[in-house]
Amino acid sequence: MQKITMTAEVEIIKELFLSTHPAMQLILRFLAAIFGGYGITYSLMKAISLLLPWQKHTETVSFCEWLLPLVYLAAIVWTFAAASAQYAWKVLLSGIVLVGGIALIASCFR
Amino acid sequence: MKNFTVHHTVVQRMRDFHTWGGLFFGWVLFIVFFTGTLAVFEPEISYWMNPEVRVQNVAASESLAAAEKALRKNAADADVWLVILPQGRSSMLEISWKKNGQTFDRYIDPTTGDVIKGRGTDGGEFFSHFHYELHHKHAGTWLVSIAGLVMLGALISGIMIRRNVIKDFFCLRWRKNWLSVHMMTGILTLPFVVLITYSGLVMTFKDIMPVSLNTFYKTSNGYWNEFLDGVERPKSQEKVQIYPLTALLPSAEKELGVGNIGFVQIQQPDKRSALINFMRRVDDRMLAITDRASFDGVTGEWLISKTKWDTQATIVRSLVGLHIGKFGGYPMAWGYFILGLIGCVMIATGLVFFTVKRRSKYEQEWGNKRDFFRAVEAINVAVTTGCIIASISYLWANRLLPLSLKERADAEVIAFFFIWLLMFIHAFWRTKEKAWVEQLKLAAGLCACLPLLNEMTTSVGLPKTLLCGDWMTAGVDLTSATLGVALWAVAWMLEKRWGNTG
Repeated sequence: MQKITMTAEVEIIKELFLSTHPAMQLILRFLAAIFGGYGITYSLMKAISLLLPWQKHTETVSFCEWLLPLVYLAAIVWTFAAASAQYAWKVLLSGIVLVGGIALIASCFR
Repeated sequence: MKNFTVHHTVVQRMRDFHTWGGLFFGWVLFIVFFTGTLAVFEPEISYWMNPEVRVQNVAASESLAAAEKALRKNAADADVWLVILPQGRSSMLEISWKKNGQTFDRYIDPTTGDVIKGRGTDGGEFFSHFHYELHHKHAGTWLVSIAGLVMLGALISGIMIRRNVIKDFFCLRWRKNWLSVHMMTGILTLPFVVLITYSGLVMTFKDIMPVSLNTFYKTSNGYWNEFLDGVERPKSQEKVQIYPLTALLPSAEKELGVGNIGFVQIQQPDKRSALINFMRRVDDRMLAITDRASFDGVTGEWLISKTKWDTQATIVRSLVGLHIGKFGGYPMAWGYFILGLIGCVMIATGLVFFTVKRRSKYEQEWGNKRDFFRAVEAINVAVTTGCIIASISYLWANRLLPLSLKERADAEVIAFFFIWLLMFIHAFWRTKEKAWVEQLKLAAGLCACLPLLNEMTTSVGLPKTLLCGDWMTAGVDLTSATLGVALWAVAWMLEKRWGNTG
């Protein structure tokens, strides 16, 4: 009994995330824009901070401060231009993994 | 079912983003824009809200001596002292001190060094903090930052979905309907809104994403210390009176420029390890960071001066300077104020257009959908006019609350939120047309009567301030009255329009 309801719930969640209903698409896009956009900006900021060879760390912090809001904005606008919410999520998540991976490797060599 | 799987084009998706992002974040953005617009005149509002503090201009050295005396008397065991000297538009002498993490501040008389017994109030500072924190510190900053991003996105998507908007604007095809007012004010303020939103975003970005900072520093204090080239000294408990501040003033002015000292900070005052930082004023240049000269607190020996800033730091702090807009004096302040108000109109008309476009559709519907749109209409009223009424009520509360009230500054803020809550209840209770007109008229009345209230409750009424040329106080009264007339005109226009159509 327990197992059946579990799979039913999983099905519902799966259906929600794969939904092509316009309202669901919109909600998924907003979530992708805000959280996915945050994630990609976050990992890019980390990678830039680790990879920039500048002597003064305060300069790196300041540089990130004015550049990364534009990246976040671009991610948000792109999310709404993408073909579907699922595609936007896919690209954003792989971007986070890729850039985050670079940051992770960079942090090992630091 | 076919409608549900319709293929959306990019423009249609941008329209969805503009519609729904604009609606939900538009409520936040209106509040941020309106209180931010008021914050442009923060010194004037603070001055108006402290009618007991009317100080004559005295030399910086005399102010400094008075401040030192007052600090020693009132805050002998504090961790940090701060003197805010009269500068630019603000002519008040303020002292502030930190003790066990708490901050205290008082206005003092520069001739005697006595604390002026004024009324407890947060003054215009409330607006400038509320403008980016929404009274919720970190959570508020988060919400405002996301709203700022949506604002910039909405500008891009707005131009994408109405490609003719720029052409229409320059061909003077301005119509008298909600959409046209929304688009034309949008294009008119486009450069300003881009600048102010982007620079605001840069200001809060380190708070919502402290990644870069955390990569290199354990705490933000460590970052700021390196950024400012600060001097760190071990704490000492031995009591030694600090070197007189007035005696250090000439050497500090030699470092930072004569007449440029805006703030003096004393760390561990009256201790062996005391440190005195003279800081340059920031209201006369775009680079909004204080140059500083540091002195040993006991011997008065010059330690270090920081007047040169690195490239990236200059970019960020110049954006901050552009956001606060203090360096341009009154012409810039008025420009920001007026453009800010037009920006508010742009957001408000956009919110109204959301309901206008859908009204004919949802008025025939029943159930959840209809309730949702009703709620949107009510929230639109409560957010826009409610915010205006709450803000002006804050000024009314400053005059009406008894002076002897304990925690008076908090009581004013409570009045602000309480009146706003009443406006929410009113907006949900009345029909849409009545709610708009009544709240607009209430706002107009409160704004227009503010000079009258000021005249009746204080000795700095409009006739007197006009006669003696006290434009700081008179300006608040006159601006409020003008806004009152403008709000009344809007109420009257809406009444006429809705009266005709039934």
